[in-house]
Amino acid sequence: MGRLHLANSGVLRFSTPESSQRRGTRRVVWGIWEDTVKYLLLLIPCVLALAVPLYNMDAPRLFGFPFFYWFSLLLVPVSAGFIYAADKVGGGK
Amino acid sequence: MSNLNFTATTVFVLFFAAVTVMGFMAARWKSGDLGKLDEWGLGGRQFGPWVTWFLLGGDLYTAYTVIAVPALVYAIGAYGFFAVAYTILIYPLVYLIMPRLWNVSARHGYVTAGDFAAGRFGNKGLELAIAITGILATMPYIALQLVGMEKVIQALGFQGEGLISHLPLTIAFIILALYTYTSGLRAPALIAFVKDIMIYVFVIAAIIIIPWELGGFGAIFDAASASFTAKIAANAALDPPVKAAMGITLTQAQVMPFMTLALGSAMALFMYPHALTGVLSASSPRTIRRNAMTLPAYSLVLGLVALLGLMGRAANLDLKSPQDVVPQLFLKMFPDWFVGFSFSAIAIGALVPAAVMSIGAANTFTRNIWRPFVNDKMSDAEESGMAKFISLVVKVGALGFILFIPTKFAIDFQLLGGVVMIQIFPAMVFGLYTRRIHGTPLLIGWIVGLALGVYLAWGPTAWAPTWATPAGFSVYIGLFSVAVNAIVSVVLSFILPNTALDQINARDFEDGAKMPPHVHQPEPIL
Repeated sequence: MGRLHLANSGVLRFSTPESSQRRGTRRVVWGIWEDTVKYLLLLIPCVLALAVPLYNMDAPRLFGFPFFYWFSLLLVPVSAGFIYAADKVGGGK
Repeated sequence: MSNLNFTATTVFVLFFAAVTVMGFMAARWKSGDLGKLDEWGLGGRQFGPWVTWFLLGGDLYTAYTVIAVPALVYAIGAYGFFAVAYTILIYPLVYLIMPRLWNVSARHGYVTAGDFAAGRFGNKGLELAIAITGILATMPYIALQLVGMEKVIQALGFQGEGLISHLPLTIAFIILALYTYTSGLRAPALIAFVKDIMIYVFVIAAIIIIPWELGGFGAIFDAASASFTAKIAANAALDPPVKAAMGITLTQAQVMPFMTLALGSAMALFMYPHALTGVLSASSPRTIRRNAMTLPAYSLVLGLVALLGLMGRAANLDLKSPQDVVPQLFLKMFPDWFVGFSFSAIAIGALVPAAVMSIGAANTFTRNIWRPFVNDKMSDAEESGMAKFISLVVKVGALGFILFIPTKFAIDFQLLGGVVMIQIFPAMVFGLYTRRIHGTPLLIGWIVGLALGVYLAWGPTAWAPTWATPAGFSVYIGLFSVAVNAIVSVVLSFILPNTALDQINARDFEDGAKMPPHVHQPEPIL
């Protein structure tokens, strides 16, 4: 038997035991997916910072800075951006 | 004292005096009962995002960093920039693990890393190991803050013989010790506001005006590169020839040490008592996460500070030691009043971390050495009284370090400090995620990692932070030894039985709405 109830999203929804179980599974899967994306987002700046051979060079220069320097410095705000994105994806948890 | 720079000294003394007044007044800021350890030693766990940002920024990016990182860049170039990669690696890690540690600490009243280990692993030996690691690594670090302070005081023109030459430093340190004693963590938290703003002003000014005078960044990098080439040629011509890698990019042989040093340093940083003290004083896990996104602003400043080393090369400074590069560069490039301002920024910059470090070490001694092994029935008041007293002892010890032992030892110990500190990483991080890896294996892993790290770092002439592997490349000893430590801990965890009591529930790590704001009494250790 199903029943009419107010779902979290605020819409009126008709559910049966089977359908709510399906939604529960979907939520768990979605949670795992969210976590994976969150960890990936946190991993990217780390990999970039450690990929030293990729940026250990003089050219191209920017405002007189060799690539090594401007890439390192640019990576700082970029990494903060990735953490921000991970926070948004993970719902701040 | 004939060559004392009068204008600069006046500005310096004025700022220092203002900060001293703030330090003493801080006792009444967000007031609480300073007879409790997490009021005195953690500021009552109530610092919001802004205060935490200034406090952690002021605490982690120390005065010694402002002196030492440019000194390394001045001496050998690009390699010193490992500090930037290192500070990039810190924050994803902080974002992930520190909110968990904060949650469990707030719920159980933990103040130190050792408290957490005692609760999680029920192993007094491991608790003691973690406490000793923290105190051992922190002492030389405090001493180095004094080195940073002394460099700028000397550059103001103070001279003297023997102990008299250390007089200004001693006075500054006594003042620091007194207001840390009365105000606890509130003092550095309040002073950090002033310090950080001053550092931002001085870095931004330096990064605009010095390139202006030296013909732009392109010219600075070219001049520095030429200077390194000349130095390499001069070294090769010496008898016997000296071979030292330097340049504005890394040599092939420097790449692995650069990467491993950056990663290992990042893993070690938040194991230090002063870093944990800063984190645990935050008001919520949300505050910590937000700071993981905003603290990189300081890393940018650190990167720009590192460039001062190359500017020093380009400006053809004549230095007795690379550590003089920042003070001498400022004396050459700026009017006296701004020199005074910048030097006081560095000196005040030494006060904040020195205060937090001594508080962190004092909390650790009180909670994880005195209470479990000497007197397990301390009242709140006795506990905070003991911590206050130890914070004085720690500072006197650091001062003695500087007065009676050559600075070189402090620098060597600090290099070793990272290798030592990183050894508690497995216990802390495994502990935050799983109960499969348990106390005795972690303690054995710690012993193995520590012994291996110290053995490898012990060079024929001096301590060396990197080790030439048989495979032909060099790695940071800290990273290598902690990997061995972790492997030993994991393998032994499958072999040895785990009978110890774990007081922590998996849910204690999660964010929760219902949390008592202050839990002063930690649960008894069985």
